[in-house]
Amino acid sequence: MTTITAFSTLINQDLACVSAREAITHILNYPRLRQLKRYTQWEFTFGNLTLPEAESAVTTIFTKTFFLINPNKENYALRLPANLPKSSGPQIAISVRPKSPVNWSAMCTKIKSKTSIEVSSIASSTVWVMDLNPGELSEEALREELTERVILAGSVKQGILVNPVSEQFEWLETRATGTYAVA
Amino acid sequence: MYSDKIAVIQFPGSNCEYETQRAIAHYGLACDIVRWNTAADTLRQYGGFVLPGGFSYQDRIRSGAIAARLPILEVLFEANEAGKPILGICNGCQILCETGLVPQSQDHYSHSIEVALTHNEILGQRVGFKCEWTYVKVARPEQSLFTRYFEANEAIPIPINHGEGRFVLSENAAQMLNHVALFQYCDSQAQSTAASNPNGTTANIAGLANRRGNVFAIMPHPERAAFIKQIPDWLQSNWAQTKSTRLTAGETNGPWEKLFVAMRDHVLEAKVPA
Repeated sequence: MTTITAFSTLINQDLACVSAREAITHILNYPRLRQLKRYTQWEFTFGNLTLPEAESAVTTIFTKTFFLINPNKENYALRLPANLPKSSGPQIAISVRPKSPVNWSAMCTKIKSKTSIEVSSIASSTVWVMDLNPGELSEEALREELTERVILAGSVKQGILVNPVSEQFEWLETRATGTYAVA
Repeated sequence: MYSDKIAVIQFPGSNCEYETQRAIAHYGLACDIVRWNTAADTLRQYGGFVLPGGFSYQDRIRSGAIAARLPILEVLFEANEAGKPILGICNGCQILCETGLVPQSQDHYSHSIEVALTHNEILGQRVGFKCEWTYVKVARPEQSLFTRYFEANEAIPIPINHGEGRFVLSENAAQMLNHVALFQYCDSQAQSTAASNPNGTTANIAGLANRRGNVFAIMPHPERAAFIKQIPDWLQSNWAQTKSTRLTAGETNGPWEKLFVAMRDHVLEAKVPA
């Protein structure tokens, strides 16, 4: 089994991100957020490919099928998100996915019929990368504050990025560690 | 001071406000389309509110997520406390779910989100945007001012038009299901089955009320079945079979007359304080 993680993002202005940032800073009045970026994280599993073959397969899926991304409008990168916010402050990332897993088997069949590439499984999630001004807060305190005020929409007054009734989130390792795998 | 006017709230991205206004006005209730940034004092004068369908803020983050956090919602929270009728259709339904106005499992409105509307999905497989005619039936019609004129187990034709219409319930909301009025997808014989569930929604739910019955969130579009002329001839429904006779007789009212008339009667008779 070979697993490849890839990240896609819009080439032009991501309006969902603009609105999310506006809502967080001006409606929820959260002052620490400097920048926000959104990516789709993809995880492809292949049964019988080597790592270079699997990376090449993902490139083909992205550029030739148009099933998962539109390469005219979206960039993609393997392992790490492209064009991360440039900042000296900490960046905290979360990965959001539905509580009930999505079945991608029909998509795997479609990809096989178009490209002959056999994908064992696909998973996707939305990644939000938050560039923050933490002030005096430790990373743990910052995560706690983010969970309550920005991430979990437990109430209409607090949080927006994750609807806890239907979605769940995981922290991703921060940028300093050089990877965005699940922490 | 009482108001017998309804405000249809136009958010950036709403696209059903004019047909909603036409349906409300046809059934005898004065109705204005008001923008999302209208002054709160102006909005407070209305006797009820309708949140129409569309794509407020392009469904950014999640459908209804941004609109639900706008200052105008404070006026709706006050209206809810005052018992004024609040109806959310399609995107309006998504907004009401994001505010926690339905089903309000607690005695007092807590702003807690108890219901999510997420991607149409059957057995884990995304089924995309749905644009088709369905049937719904009402459970416990007496529990909401909007459904009180319907009969239980009557199959009512109605179109759906959404990509995120699958109700997912929190534990608290699930416990409320037997206590609030519901619309549930069914077939033309009023049987709720997996086959009559167009989007994988929990318990075939198409819409639900709050526990007091003054707020109703419905994903299908009653304003698109408010007039008999809107009913397609091929539907397996008495409404389609009698359409030409009714039209010849000069009738105009469609299957969702009861919802709009119920709202009108509540506003005109109860005279909710403005």
